[in-house]
Formats: sequence, structure tokens, C-alpha cells
Amino acid sequence: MKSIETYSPRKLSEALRILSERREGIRVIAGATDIIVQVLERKKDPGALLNISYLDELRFIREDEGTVRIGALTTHREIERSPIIKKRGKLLAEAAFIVGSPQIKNLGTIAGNVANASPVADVVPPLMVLGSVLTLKSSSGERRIPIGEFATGPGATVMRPDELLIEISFPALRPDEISFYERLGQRRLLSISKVGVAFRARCAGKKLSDVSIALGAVAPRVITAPRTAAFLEGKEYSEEVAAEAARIVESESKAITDIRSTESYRNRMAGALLIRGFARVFQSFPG
Amino acid sequence: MTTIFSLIVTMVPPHLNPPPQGGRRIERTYEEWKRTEVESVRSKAKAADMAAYKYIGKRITRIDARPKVDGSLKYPSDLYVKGMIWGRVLRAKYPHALIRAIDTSAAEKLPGVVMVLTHKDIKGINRFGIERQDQPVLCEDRVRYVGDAVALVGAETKEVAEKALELIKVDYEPLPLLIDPREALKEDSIKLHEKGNIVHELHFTRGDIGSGFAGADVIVENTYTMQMMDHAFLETEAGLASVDKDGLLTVQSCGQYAFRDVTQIARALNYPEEQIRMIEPYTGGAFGGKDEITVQILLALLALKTQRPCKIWFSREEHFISCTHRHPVEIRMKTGVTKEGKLVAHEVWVLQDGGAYATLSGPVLCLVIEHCCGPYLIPNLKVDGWAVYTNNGMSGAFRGFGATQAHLAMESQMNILAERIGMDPLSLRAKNVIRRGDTFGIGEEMIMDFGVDQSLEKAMKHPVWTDRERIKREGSSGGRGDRGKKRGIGVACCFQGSGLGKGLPDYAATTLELNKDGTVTLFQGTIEIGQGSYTGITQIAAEILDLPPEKIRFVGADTKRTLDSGTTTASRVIYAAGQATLLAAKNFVEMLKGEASKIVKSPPETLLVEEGNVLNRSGRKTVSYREIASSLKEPLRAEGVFHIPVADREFSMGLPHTVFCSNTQIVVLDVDTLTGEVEVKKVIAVPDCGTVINPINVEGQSEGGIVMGMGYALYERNVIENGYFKNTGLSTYILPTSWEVPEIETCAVEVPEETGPFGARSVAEVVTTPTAPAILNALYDAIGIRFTDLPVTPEKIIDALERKKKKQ
Ligand SMILES: Cc1cc2nc3c(=O)[nH]c(=O)nc-3n(C[C@H](O)[C@H](O)[C@H](O)COP(=O)(O)OP(=O)(O)OC[C@H]3O[C@@H](n4cnc5c(N)ncnc54)[C@H](O)[C@@H]3O)c2cc1C
Repeated sequence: MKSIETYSPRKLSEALRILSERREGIRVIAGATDIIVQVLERKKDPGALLNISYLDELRFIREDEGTVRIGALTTHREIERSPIIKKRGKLLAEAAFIVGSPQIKNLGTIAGNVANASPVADVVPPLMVLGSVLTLKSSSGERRIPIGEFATGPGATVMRPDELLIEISFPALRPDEISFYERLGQRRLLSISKVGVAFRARCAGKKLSDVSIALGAVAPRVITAPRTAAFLEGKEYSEEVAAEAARIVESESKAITDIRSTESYRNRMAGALLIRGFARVFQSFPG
Repeated sequence: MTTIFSLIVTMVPPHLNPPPQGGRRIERTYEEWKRTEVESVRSKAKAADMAAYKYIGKRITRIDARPKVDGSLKYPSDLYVKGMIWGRVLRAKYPHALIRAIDTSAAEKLPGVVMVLTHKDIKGINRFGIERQDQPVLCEDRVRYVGDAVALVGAETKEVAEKALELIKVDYEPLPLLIDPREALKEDSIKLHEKGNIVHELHFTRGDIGSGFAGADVIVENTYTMQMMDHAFLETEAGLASVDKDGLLTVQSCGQYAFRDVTQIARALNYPEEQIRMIEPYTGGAFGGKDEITVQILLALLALKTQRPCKIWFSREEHFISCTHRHPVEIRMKTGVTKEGKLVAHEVWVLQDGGAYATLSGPVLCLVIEHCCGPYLIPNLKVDGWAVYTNNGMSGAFRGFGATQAHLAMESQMNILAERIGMDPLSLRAKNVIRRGDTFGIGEEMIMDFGVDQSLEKAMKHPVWTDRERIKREGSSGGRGDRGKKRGIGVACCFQGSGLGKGLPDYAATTLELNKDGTVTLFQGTIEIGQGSYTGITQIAAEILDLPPEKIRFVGADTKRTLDSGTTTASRVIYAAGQATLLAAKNFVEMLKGEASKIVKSPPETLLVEEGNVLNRSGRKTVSYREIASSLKEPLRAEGVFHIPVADREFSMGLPHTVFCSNTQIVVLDVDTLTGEVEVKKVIAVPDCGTVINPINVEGQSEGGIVMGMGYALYERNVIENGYFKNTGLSTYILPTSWEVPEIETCAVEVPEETGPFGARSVAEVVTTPTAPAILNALYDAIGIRFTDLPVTPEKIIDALERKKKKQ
């Protein structure tokens, strides 16, 4: 057995102090569900670890004044079951349900999913369309950046080595907003996303406005689909409109072929999932 | 008829001699069996009599359930001893290369490394292989696939062993690759082995294929391609070995035939067989994947060299690249039928990619050929089959053993033919089925009862089949929510031989011993690989001895304690080892009566056994098993040996079989035409396994087999590119999970097998074979597209739907 130097602070301030002192030489772990796999697969020495999972102050889901705030350590399980999220960030609850298996959901955290900066991360597309803001904190201060500016490529972010992601917040969904997250894996659950589509818009009758769409697993990072969103802006939902939107979103998708799927299937499915999501929402939507 | 043999038959000799260690043995061949037992099996196995049994046919909890759940039962990977070292294998860097030199000096210097071994440290033939020994334990001058073992490290910890692997320098000269099995057939291809690239080939003709096709009204020709598939058992290959001061080598490991493992170790390392003890009762899943040698010889070598206890446990990745898989196969079939639904001619061409070494490629090809007509009579047949070597990993035994691949093609053909002549697909099957007395396939004779007709009949009457139009309509929901869902219902049928077939020693043996406390110990040399056969065997003994199963102690495969009972493969254990146990138990009861008669002073023929006692018919004089045990100086021990019946004529090694099981399945599934996703909703299975010894176990086999078949049809594939495995973990090798498991209903037909224990046949392989073709047939029913290439992924479905749309 190998021993790994591990710090398990009980206070955020202490964690930030360790980070600022150690900088590059230490890695943060929360649920460790991503890290463990990376360490095992790359057979690399992870160096020292900063285990933040005891920082209970980062474990919360709150709604204040129209803003939903989620603490970094909140698990997928907690999100999936939260009455606040089910009501105020419905598609995020849908995404959290999809993540891995019950075991993974009990350990994996929302911040871990975001900080890992994987293009296939399931909670990121929903957070994008919700207009989420990330709070990054270091011992020298705090900054807030929109989630769209966070990841720069697979595994790469604008976060500094002395920073922790401590909170994710977004404007609570209002009753006149619709949202969905649809994704495809190689099997129903416990599989990595082949393509994921997050959608949010205001909807009056069937008229869409303030449309936001994000796509997972079809580019080196989670991307938005601005042309599709622009097309849908102000349109009444109909099957024809959905079909046209699907065609546009397919051209915005920039997938590649790999062991899990093909480029053409993924791009096509970005459209298919949009259609599927609309069908699901509008069959239950009043009016 | 012509057959070309390229087999060197060096099967392991029987280990039954010398005869029993004391006690008495009853040995029965089929001929003797017929004279003495058939009538009683026939009359007793009638459904009405089943109620008379105390333990047979009952839902008895598995004897290994509790210790497996509470963790007290040790699987091979659970074994640790003080002072043990870890072994790790250096695998080949290239799928095909010459080895110019191996330098282990740096690795040896690493602190914690005990020893680094190469081929130079091996005294024996340094080869293994069930059918022929062509696979090196540690490669000498050449590697032929990426799983080839080049060096073996023994170190104090796993981590040091791992590190040492990186320090071994191997000087390779990469060679051109042979990755296309068609290329392997060519005269001028690269030769992977001295004798060429053909492991085995078979060519048969029966009747007159030309006039057969001339008499057909409809002829259908298709090529089916099947992928390489992994057994994906829960426990990867593991074991522990040690040597005592007298030189006795004990290997506890996974495996499927302990006695053959002894022979393979002895031969490869030139170590005396008597000095080797294999203990391998419980294995964490096998499905054929642990039939060939995995860790055994490496463990033995390391223990003998270091004289330390040592442990080897393959990682999942190592398992994927080094171990055997289900053969990728290409099968071309041309089949003719009359408009009345009589099959008249069948031409079959098979090309099977065996990978780098022989293992069981030859016998698997034999079974593809044996089952290529399905369970149907076709008078005119021509088959040509080849199994070849390539640099594509390794393929060998896998549940179904070739019959799976053969039926995938044939059961697709049957549905296509049925549609073309406008006949119900189950009726077409029923019209052509093999019955007892028929000459079928390559010219074999069905000498035993065979239940496929009854299986088909029961499937045809099942409400899911009779009501299929309504069920289909309900599922295809058009414009509502689940947009574009299309439901399809498909069927497929299959059969498969039990046992190893003609030409291979095929027997089983059980020993029973009376313990001082009146309980009985049952010694059985087959292996519990998860199928539940130790429980079934215990039930058989319990029934004859009239002793509750908890009073029977089970001792599984241990070459120094149990008799050789053959392989745990080929759907043979409950049938053969069960029958040997029945014989042993009858023998044991006779001996008990003999001893009891001395105590109760009544002649043995007036005595009966009941609930652990021997009593006379009036029930007045009773003597318990425990009293008998304490009256004896020598322990009372009885043996039973059963020889599986064999056909008169031999076609090729392992061909043909004599005892056959069958199964019919109905699959209901939904296809999402928007995304190409397939959801299997329901599967009805109608296996004929003879008498059901334990319904829980038959259902367990059936349900597991169906999910495995779903994996084959829809999800699983070992991806190999240029000789390298691309998916070596369970996140990229996609298995179905509990979310994919449909509603499953298993309703067996019980056509008693007159040579089987209480009429039992077997069930382990036929449970998986029909699922994939039934899924293909259901897909066709749903969306009108015929898939012939596995697995059918959503990508393929979407592409096919698109092509179909464009054509219209
Ligand atoms: C079997 C399995 C199935 C999975 N299935 C899915 C799935 O379906 N969908 C999906 O999206 N993901 C899936 N995952 C990935 C993973 O579970 C999630 O991404 C999870 O949310 C990661 O959270 P964690 O707390 O475990 O992260 P960790 O592994 O602890 O950390 C991940 C990365 O984030 C960094 N990090 C973590 N927290 C912080 C923080 N507060 N501030 C700064 N950096 C931080 C770490 O340094 C590390 O680089 C799966 C993983 C496994 C093993």
C-alpha cells in the first residue's frame, strides 16, 4: 500500500490557506469519483491531496430572492431530490438523476462535475442555460464568473491553483419558463454521455422567448447553440418549428467519432434530443 | 462426405484410475443404464409423480447463498496468506513481433523485487492449450498478440511488481500483422504458426445440394457477422499458490477443470502431476472464459521458483487483452424452402477468427457446424468452415460455444423464409423440427428424447404470441409523447448438445462419505462458477439418501480429495455430475442398509431409508445414520461414476453429441426511431432442460442468459484495431445493467431425459442462444429492417432508417 499525503481541513479558511501555501503541489478532492479514475488510469502519483469533503459549510441548497445557491459539496443525490431544484431548476434535477449510479450520486459533487471541465459532464449544460455564476474563492479574495467562461478545453479551466469553487448560483426558474435536459449514453444509465441537450426558455402559450440551449459531448467543451436559440426566439412551438430547430442545432453541433459513437450520429442526435425534449415538455405544458 | 482433420488430439487422459480410495464404486455406461434404469426414470418423471419428491423440483435456497452473502466464502481473489508475494505479468508491447532480447537486470535490482522470470526459467514444454499446446507460458522469441506473456515478476507488493514491469527491457522487432481472417486463408499470407494459419477446417455434404435447391420455391442468402465478446465475469482471474517442504505444490485458483489444470501445469513446467494439488471449488463467474489456463501455470512457476506463497490477480484491463473471448465469426447461409414450408437445402460457409493461439477454436468450429441447421431437418446440406489464426487477441470457449453464432444466422434465415412464403415463423419451425429417431444436420442421429417440438408448441400458445398484434399496436404510440416508438415481437429457437461430444472422455464421478455425526460429505470435482450446480447436486443426493440438504456437506473441486468429474463446461454438470451423484447415493444407501441389517438383524432388502434413519418396512426397528457411523471401524464410502452416452459414429473431435436441450424465446421490444435506442420490454423463455431439479436455478440461468444475449445483440463488443484492444475497461466495454433488464418469464417444458438424474438434462447454454436472433427478428418486426451485423447499436439503426427513408 502506498500512502498519500492528505489534508482534510474542517474549515474553508484553513483549506484556502493550505491551497495558497502549496499551490501547484496539491490536488483538491471532493467526492473523488473523477480523480480516482484519473489516478488509476494514468497510473500517476497524484501528489498531495486536499480533501475538502469535511467542509460542511459548502453543503447547501438555498433560494434567496430569486436566486438559487448551491454549495460546492452538494451531491448529485441531494440535487436530484431537492424540492427547490425540482421547482426552480428542474432540468438540473433531471441531469443529476442521470449521473452514474446511486453510489456515484451519493459521492459525486456538483463542483467536482464542473471543475473537472469534461465536455461530457451532465450537469454543466443545464447550468449553462440557467445562466449560472461560479464563485471562486482564494485566501486573497473572491470572484464570480459566468459558467460559460470557466472551461477552456477538456480538463482546463480559468481557475487558479489557489482557488476553490465554493458556490454555484443561478436565477430561479419562473413559472412561465420551460426547461429540459435530454441525453444519450451507450446504455440508459451508468454511461458517459454521447450527446446531451439542455434547453430553457420563457413560454407564453406556446410562444418561446429568451431561449437558451447548451450541448454536451459534441465539442471539446460544453457549447451553446446561439443560432438555434435565435431561430426559436419569438416562435410558436409546433412540430414543424421543432424539426427546423433540430436541423439548425445539428449544424451547430461539432461532434467527433470515438469509441462511444460517431460524428454523424451525435450531430443528428443533438436535433433528435431537442425534438424529444419539446415533445416531453409540451405534452404536459398547460395551453 | 469429406472431413479434413488438422487436429493433434492430445486431450488430457482420464484421471479415474486408480480406483476408489476404499469403499465401493458403481460405474454405469449408457448401455447398462438403459437396461436397469430407464423405465424407472420414465415412469417417475411424469409430472404427476413430481409431487412425490421431497427435494427434487423444489425451490431450495442455494447451499452457497449465505456464505456468499455474508462474505465467509472465499473466492480465489479473496485469498491472502502471510508472507505471500505478488506476481505481475509483462504483456507484449506489439501484437506481432520477434523478441531479440529480454533484459531483466534493472527490474531485479528494484528493492522489493523477489524474482523476475522469463522463458529461460521454464523446464517443461512452456506451452499450454486445451486441445493442442501452442501457447507459450512465457514467450521465447516471438509474440503473437498483445496479451502474450513475456516475463513474470514476483515482488513483495503489488506496486513494486507493477513498477518492476516498467524496468524490464524487451528488444522487439515488430512484424507485419495478420488481422483479416480472410487474408489468413490465403496461400501467401503471413504465417503465424509453423503449420500455417488454419487451426481447423471442416467440410461436409449430405444429400444433393444442387437438386435440393432446384426443388426450393424460395431461396434466401445472407451473410452474418458477429463481434468478439467478453465474458465479463465479476471476478477477474485470480489465485494463490504455495509449495510445502515436501515439494507439494498447491494452487488455489479460478478455473473450470481442476484436473486438467494439473496436467497442463505438469506438462508446461515438467513438474510431477502427483506433486500438484489444484483446489478450485468456487470461481467468481466463468462462462467458458476460465476453461483455458489463465493464472494457474504462472502461479505454479512463481511458487516453485521463489518457494514463497504467491498471489496473482489480473486487472480488468489485463483480463480484456490476455484472455479468451467469444469468437468473431462470419457466416454465409443460403437456405431453400418449399412453399409448403419444408426446408430442402442449406449451404453454409463459416470463417471464424480464433486469434493468436488454438485453445478451443477447433471444437468451437465443430459446434458451429453441428448447429448450423438449427434444430431442423434439412435433407441436403453443404458446409465449409475454417477457424484461423490472426493477431486479434484470443478467442475460445464461451457459453454457447459456437452454437450461439450458428443460431444467430439460422434463426434469422428462418424468419426471412417464413415471411417470404407467408407462414407464421413458429409454424415454419414446428414443421421442420428434429424428433427422436431422425437423422439430422451433418448426418447425426437423434437417439434420445428431444423436447424442441414441445418448447415451440408452448411458445406458440403463450398469450404474448397469440395476442401479439394487440401488444404490438399498444406499444407503437405514434404521435403521443414517446414519439416515433415502434414495437416489434420476435422469436427464435435453438438446441445444443450436453457434454463434450464423441471422441473425448466424458464421465463424472461423485464420492459420498458417512460422517460420525450421521451427516454425509459429498465430494464432487466440478466447479461452482455461479450456476448453482452444487445445490442441484446436493438435492439429488438428498432425495436418494432422504436426508435434508443441510445435513450434506459439500466438498468441491480439489484434486487430492475429489474424483475427476470432468469439465465444468458444455452444459454437462447437472446432467453428468448429477447422475454420478445419483449412482453414488444409491450405492451408499445399499451400503447403509447392509450395515444397518447387522444392527437391526433384518435382511437388507426389507429395509428403507427415511429422514436420516434406516428402518424396516413395519417402521418398528430403526437405526440412525449416526448409529451406523459409530458402529463402523472404516468410514463408509461410496462412489458413483457415470459415462455420458456417445454416438456410434464420429464426425470430428467432439462431433456429434447425443443428448440435446432446446429453448424458444419470444422478445417484445420498442425501437425509438428518433434516436435508434432499443428497449427490450419482455422476454418469454421456454427451455427444455428435462426435469427441473431446482426452479430457482433454472430461472436464474434463464434470466442471466437472456441479459447476456441482449448484450451480444445490442451493446457488447471488444474493439480491436491493428491488434490493439481499444476498450479495456467496463466504462467502454458496455454491458447491460439492471436498467436494461426486461420483464422475464421462464416457463420450462420438462421432457424427461432418460439418462439424466431424475430426468434432468441441462440448461446453461441454451438460455442465451435464442436471445440475439429473437432480438434481430423483433427489430425487423418493428421497423422492417433486417440487421445481420452485431451488435445493433443506435448508430446502426439510425443509419439504416435513414437509408430506408431515402429509398422510399
Ligand atoms: C462510474 C462513474 C460514472 C459516472 N457517471 C457520470 C455521468 O453519468 N455523468 C457525469 O457527468 N459524470 C459522471 N461521472 C463523473 C463524476 O462522478 C462526476 O463528474 C462528479 O460530479 C465529480 O465530482 P467529485 O466530487 O467526485 O469530483 P472529484 O473527483 O473529487 O474532483 C474532480 C475534479 O474537480 C476538482 N474539484 C472538485 N471539487 C472542487 C472544488 N470545490 N473547487 C475546485 N476544484 C474542485 C478536483 O481537483 C478534480 O480535478 C461518473 C464517474 C464514475 C466513476
